[in-house]
Amino acid sequence: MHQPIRDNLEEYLKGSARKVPQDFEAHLEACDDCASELRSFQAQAAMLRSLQSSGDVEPRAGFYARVMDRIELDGRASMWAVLLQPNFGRRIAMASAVLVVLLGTYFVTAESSEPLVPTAPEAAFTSGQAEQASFDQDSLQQQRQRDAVLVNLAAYHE
Amino acid sequence: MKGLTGVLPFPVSSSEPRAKTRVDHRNTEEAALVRRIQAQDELAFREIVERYQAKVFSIIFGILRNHNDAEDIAQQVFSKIYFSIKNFDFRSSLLTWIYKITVNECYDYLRKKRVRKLVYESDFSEEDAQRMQNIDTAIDQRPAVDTQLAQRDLAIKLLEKLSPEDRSLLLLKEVEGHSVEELAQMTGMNENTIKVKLFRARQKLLKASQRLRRAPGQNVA
Repeated sequence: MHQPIRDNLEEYLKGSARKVPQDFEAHLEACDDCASELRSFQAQAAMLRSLQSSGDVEPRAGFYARVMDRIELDGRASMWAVLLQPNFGRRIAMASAVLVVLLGTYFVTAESSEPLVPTAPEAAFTSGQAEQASFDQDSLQQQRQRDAVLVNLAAYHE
Repeated sequence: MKGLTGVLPFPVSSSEPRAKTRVDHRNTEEAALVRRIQAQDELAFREIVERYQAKVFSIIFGILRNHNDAEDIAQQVFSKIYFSIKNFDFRSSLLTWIYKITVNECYDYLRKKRVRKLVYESDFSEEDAQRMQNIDTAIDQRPAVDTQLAQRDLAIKLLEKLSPEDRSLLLLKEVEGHSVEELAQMTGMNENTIKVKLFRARQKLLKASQRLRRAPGQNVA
């Protein structure tokens, strides 16, 4: 929409044609686009005016008392509604996230200060080897003891 | 025009009246009343209810055309005013603030009503849904009984596409009949800003209406 029309659109739509400068009409005659858009705006304004209340509509007597009842009811409800508020939920989520981080940090630091326990497969393999070695050594010693007993027994028979 | 619309700036023409005396909404009789409510004076709140109940009721009735709904939403509006008046910052007039709350409550109500309808419909069996659809189609094919009613419904549907501020502004201009100068005083904005906002809101409405015409029966979004 061109400037002369745009500048005076509200006055024109209000029906104050005499407040509209002469170049407004002149431009409308020359510019079909502006004339067409202006007609659309006029139809739109008429459509919006259909929302005007017809006649006097007033609430029934005792409206104030009913409003106060509603306020009392809403006041009671709003105490519980705090729990459902998005802000409250966001704060709860933030607090939970902080708690998780703190707990995570605590467990990580607590674990690192404990005696080392192999957890990785390689560490488990190494520890397995060590256990096997110590087991082999024990059975070798037992074998030696058994041989010694046999030697003693043999010597006794001789 | 299509190419130029929205591209050209909205200059302040030399002949255009500048924003007149700016109303200081802090120093009005209404502001004193608001301060009394903020200080928990229930008599002041009663005065506000009695002063604005007819206005609020008529705004709601204009949009919903139903007495029971209007009563319910009017109560809701004043309850909202009661709980949020402590946040009223005197930037606009009290009426503008109340008007905005009222229109928003109407749209909230319409939205909830639509959601409720969708929930109920989802409980239907496929057969029920098909039957409903057939009835709806039959109703849609009937000629519009009341053009005024159809226009009103279309206006409500299209206004939903505007921001609450633009919607209130357009309604205050077209439905309440306020001039640009009055709107500037009521909202604390200057006249040129009001004109720009109104023009953009009108354009948005026009586009939404064109989209609706291109795809009838579908959402305008």
